[in-house]
Amino acid sequence: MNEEGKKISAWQLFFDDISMLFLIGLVIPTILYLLWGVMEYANAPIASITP
Amino acid sequence: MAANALEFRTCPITGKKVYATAQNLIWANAVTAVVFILVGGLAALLVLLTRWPAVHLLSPDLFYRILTLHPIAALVAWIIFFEVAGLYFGCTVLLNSRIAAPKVAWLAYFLMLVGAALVAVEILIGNADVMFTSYIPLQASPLYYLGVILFAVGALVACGIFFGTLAIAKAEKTYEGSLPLVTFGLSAAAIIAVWTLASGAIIYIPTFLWSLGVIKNIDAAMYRLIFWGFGHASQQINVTAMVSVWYLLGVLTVGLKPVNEKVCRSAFVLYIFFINLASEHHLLTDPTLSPAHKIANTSYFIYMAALASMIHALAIPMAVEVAQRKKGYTKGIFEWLTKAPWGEPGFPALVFSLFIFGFIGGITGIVNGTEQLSIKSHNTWAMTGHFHGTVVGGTTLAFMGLTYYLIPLVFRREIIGKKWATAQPYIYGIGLIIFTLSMIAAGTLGVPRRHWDITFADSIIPFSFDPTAILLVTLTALGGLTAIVGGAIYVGVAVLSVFFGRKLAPNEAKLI
Amino acid sequence: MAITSPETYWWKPADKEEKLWITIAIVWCLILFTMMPLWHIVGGQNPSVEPLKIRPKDYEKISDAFIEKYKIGEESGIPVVKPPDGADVYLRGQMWNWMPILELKKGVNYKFHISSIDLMHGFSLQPLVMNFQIVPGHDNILNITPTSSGTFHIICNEFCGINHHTMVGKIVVKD
Ligand code: HEM
Ligand SMILES: [Cu+2]
Ligand SMILES: [Cu+2]
Repeated sequence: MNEEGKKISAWQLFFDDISMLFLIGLVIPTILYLLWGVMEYANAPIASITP
Repeated sequence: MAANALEFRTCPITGKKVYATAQNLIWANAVTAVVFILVGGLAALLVLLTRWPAVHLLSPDLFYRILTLHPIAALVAWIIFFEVAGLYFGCTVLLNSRIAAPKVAWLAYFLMLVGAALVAVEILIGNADVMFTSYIPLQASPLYYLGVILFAVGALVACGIFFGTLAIAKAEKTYEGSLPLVTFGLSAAAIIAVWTLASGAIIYIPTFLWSLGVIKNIDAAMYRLIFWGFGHASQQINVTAMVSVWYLLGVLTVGLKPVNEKVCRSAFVLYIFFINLASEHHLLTDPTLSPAHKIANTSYFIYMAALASMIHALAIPMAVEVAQRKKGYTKGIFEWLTKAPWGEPGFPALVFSLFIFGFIGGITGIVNGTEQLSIKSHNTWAMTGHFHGTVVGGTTLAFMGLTYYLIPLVFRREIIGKKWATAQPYIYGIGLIIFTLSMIAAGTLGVPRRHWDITFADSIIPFSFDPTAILLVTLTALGGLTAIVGGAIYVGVAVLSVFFGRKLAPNEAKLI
Repeated sequence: MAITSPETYWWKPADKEEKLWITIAIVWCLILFTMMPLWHIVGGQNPSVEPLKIRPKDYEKISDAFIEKYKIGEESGIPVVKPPDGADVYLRGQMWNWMPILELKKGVNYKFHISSIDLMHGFSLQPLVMNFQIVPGHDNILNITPTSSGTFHIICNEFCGINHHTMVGKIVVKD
């Protein structure tokens, strides 16, 4: 709120909240890229040696 | 270094407070960056002259060694030191703030310096002929990995200083309301950097232990996954920092004011959320990883980061036009552009950087970043051409343009050789356009990256490329040499001006 | 200016031109994105989709057995192998050659298992320019049907040590 009593848009407040942006920015690639990728490599089948 | 933490001057041009401690840190980081681009540029010259079949300068072992050094010096050290200088500028000068914990900031600087020097020395003495990607199971000496870790920790601490300073500036109310757009963009870059450097830690610490024999096995594909979380994401720091610098150059050259803050900031927020997913671009032709992982990530989650770049691509030229029209350049459709400050270095640097990044680096990035087209371009020179479009034509050129303004603005020295400085972005830009386009064309004909001899003279099974490919490699060399001349002018002007430029009087409001 | 704080209320609707551009950009992004899975399903050429890890030692044994079984000759010291129609084909990257030389039949589908027994290698088929990352410990499985006859070469486009630039392999496709 400022002198005029008009409310600042919630989006504007969200964009000003660097720590929230920081958090989301870390979580998205960690899950979508790193964790998902590591899971795929970890869970891939290993060939058994009978040609 | 010993400056009083509360000593400041008021900038006669912007009216901002410049604290001496911050100024010294910006100076040290920027000057170190320039030293490293000199090293990187010399390495580029040697590599280029070896890849040019008509010259074929270095022996294979030296070639691969110098090819490892070139990106370490240019991509890692030059860019990240300059970014740290930029971050400090954005959080102190632009916010009228003192810097948080200057002693820790110096520690960060020395960690980065020692790390980078260690890596460079290990490479030069032949302990790390592994390319800057150091793909397992290729192994470098433990000191090499240690150097990378020290550098990354230093950079991470520098990001911490940046966020700390944002907090101080807010608490001490050195600015009112929201962050300036440039500082907001730099915050986005710093956030992206934290994820990047964390990925670096996750992969380099085990690799360091592996080189010591403590850890026996690291999966080679897993290494690639996490390494590119570091290696590619650092390119996303560069993109974001570069776009912030575009806005800054717009301010310094034409007095740019964002047309709509919401639009510009939304684009930066999209970068923060989605741009790091693009690390996947390197893994598209890898085995084992599923198509779902490839598609979700390589598309930046429905191309949200590409959307962001499209938004900046409109917002910046639009804001330049509005600023120019306000100055009275309103005749016809294009007077705003023809009457733009083409005769000072910042504007052509901005335009070439935008153009080369968007049309050469960006478009090829989106094209190559699809599963099927990656099959066509993976590990060919089309890749090397692509990223010289983004990180050299885009980021490096923008940073060079900014340097000519930082020197009078922050270091209070007059530029020596303004004509050279003005010609420099044109020479560098045109050289790079020829260089990158020929490189990409050669790549589409199959010319591989990281290759000492594309005539295959020593192979058991003979093979030769189409003569067109060799011609394109030659053109690449000529474009590259032109760019190197531009790079040399940059280093010359920057070094001379910083050390020998006339000291500006405290109230002298002279920019360029 | 972009270096000063914006006015108090900056969350404002975009202009007409901006909205138009952003809409076009979003539509374009959606089209590009839709093409990705679509192309994967409809298109005939994709990177490996079968996940499989294989120990380099095991892979070496299997590919040695493959070479032994179908060997028809030798060229500059490298075995030439002609697998039967539709067979599993083992193409091995090693410092510094692609083992073995293959003789294939046009129009026949082969299941390629490409892997490495030492470092990373870059499979780069010339003159078609098709490239795959070859990673030790992982089987890059590709279903390949040669559609034209002739001699093809495989160069290495991932750095694999001091003689990396000499690493060339060969595939001969016969009618
Ligand atoms: C105008 C100056 C430059 C020229 C002429 C140049 C030239 C080259 C050449 C010829 C290669 C080797 C290609 C190969 O063998 O595959 C290369 C690789 C590379 N360059 Fe540059 N370069 C320049 C500036 C830069 C800068 C400023 C950066 C970073 C900011 C950079 C980053 C890289 C990277 C990351 C590689 C890849 C190395 C690898 O494959 O491991 N270059 N450059
Ligand atoms: Cu190889
Ligand atoms: Cu190789």
